[in-house]
Amino acid sequence: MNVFHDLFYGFGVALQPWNLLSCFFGVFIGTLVGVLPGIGPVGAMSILLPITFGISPVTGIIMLAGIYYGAMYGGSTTSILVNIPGEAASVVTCLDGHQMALKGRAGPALGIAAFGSFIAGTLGLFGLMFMTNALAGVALMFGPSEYFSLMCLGLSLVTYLTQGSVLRGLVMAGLGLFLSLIGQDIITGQARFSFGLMGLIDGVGLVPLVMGLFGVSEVLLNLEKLGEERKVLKTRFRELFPTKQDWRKSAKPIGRGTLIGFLLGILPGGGAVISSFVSYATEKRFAKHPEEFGKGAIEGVAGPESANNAASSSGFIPLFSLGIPANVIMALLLGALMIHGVKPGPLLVTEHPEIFWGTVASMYVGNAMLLVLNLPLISVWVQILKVPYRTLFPLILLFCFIGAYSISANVFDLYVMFVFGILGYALRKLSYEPAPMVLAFVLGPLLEKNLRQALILSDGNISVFLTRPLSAISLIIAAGLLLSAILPFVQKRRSEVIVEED
Amino acid sequence: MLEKETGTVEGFVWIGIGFIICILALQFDLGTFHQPGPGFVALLTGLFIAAMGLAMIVARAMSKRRPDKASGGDHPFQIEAWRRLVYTMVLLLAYVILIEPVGFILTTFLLMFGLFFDYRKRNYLWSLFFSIATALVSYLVFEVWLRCQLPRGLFPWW
Repeated sequence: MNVFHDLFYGFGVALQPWNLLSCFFGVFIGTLVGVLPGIGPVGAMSILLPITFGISPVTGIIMLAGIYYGAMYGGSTTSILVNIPGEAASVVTCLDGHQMALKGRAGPALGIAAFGSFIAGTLGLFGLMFMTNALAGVALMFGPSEYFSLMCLGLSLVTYLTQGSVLRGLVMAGLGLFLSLIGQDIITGQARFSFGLMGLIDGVGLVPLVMGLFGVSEVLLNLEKLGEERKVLKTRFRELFPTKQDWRKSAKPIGRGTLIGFLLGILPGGGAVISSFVSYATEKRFAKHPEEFGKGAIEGVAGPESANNAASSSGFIPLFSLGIPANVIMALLLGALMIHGVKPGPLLVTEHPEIFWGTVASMYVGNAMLLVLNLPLISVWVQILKVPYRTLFPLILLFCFIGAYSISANVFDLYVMFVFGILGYALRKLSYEPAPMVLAFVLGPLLEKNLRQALILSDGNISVFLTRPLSAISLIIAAGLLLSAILPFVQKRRSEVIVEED
Repeated sequence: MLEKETGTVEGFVWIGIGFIICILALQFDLGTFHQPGPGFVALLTGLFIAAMGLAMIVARAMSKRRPDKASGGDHPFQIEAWRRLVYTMVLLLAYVILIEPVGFILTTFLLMFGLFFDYRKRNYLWSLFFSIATALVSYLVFEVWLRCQLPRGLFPWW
């Protein structure tokens, strides 16, 4: 029962006034960015990342985590009421959620999305508590070669599961890796690729890079749709509670969605978006009346919404146990922890129990807060949805600039953000996804360190990556994934699952 | 994935970028497998990017379909609303250049006015009010409350 004792300790941390306030602020901002199309959790987290520098690591991580799972809740509101996904993981909710709303059943759709998210998020946390400890124990046996191979596997999975061409994804990962090499060499301290610019001697900053690639470029892309008007369907609080029949239909999809989301969330590169699509496909396959899908089936809302929330909980497992981020959001959290001098990995739970257990407990509290925020306050979010993008985008850009500048009070960071904003816009117009680039950028220094350490320790023997079992398995899976992508059958299946995001 | 829509031109571009990275890496000590140097991983990265570029060209050559509209991807060069886009980019660049010499408040006010302003609606008063409000509120929140040390420029006493 040690876990429950530790969880009790975590609640002691999470319920401290500042942490409670930080949790509320995080889930509130998360719901807001989830509701608002045009800014996602990555953009919001990168904007608010500098604020966390001035507070304790646990308070900062509680806030950033709140933004992430809060956005999963909020995203469904826009999908259901406006038919525009507030963030990527809610794309699939548009299909049946909006159809339900058109039939006058917006309330039950929003209700089941919120209740399903709450149930899945809470169950996912149980898994997070038990699996992190178990995995951390195993991870203590890992050496540099295992870490290097696991990171290669993570990058391969992200690239494989990224929308569009795998080759383009791999190129993005390569570019991210190169960008991470800019700055001082980790072993010799020699400045690399700084081109005589003082601002590059410490390397490219994570925050300006992410803000440019996700914040500024997202705004630039949305400027093309500035004239489009949103038609928001009305709903009232008393209409939000699903009927008994709705619950009967949704119970199994919520259970399956939780399981799918939890398992896919652990995989590097999995995450909320993929799990919501897989859950939708699963529900359609299990349904007695699959022909109702796309026309307002409540199972098509309950399953995916549960899946994306379960994935947002389990996504923390590889970060907290191995120190390897499963997706871009986790990469940002890794960056935030490292800025505070906290190294996520197998020793995190024992060395910094307040961070792990405080964050886990805060997620229980945050899930309860989200239920209150998303149900009784639905009319507030609907009003916010009516704010035109023309008014919002200047504010988003301003927050990006202030966020990037305030990290080190250096104008160079603004130039970096501007350049990556334009680059991100161009890359996305050319169907290049920035996610593998950011993940490779964050993993780059760890990847390089572990590769070089493994070679030094093995006296230059490169077969060390294939003679150690876990390393070999990881590399074989990574290579298999990338090679399988050239097989016509896999190509077709992959595009069916992923390209639907469009 | 050796997808058919990947074009030959982008393949050559990535080969070029890969080789540039290799040349840059060669300026540093590559070391050996026993003792890898600062340029070691960079060289591997450059070779990897060049290899991916080559794979794109091979994929394109092996593909029977043309990289056209049938691929179902974006239409990258049909940029809608390009005037607002270029206008916004110029404003952002001007903001980055001017923020240090001119200062946060004035530059932010000018940026916000430029971004809020809609040339079709000629909403001068509305834009003026919101840009002043945004500049002042953001100054109070970030400089006064959160002590972010924003650039003061022409107004060192602020």
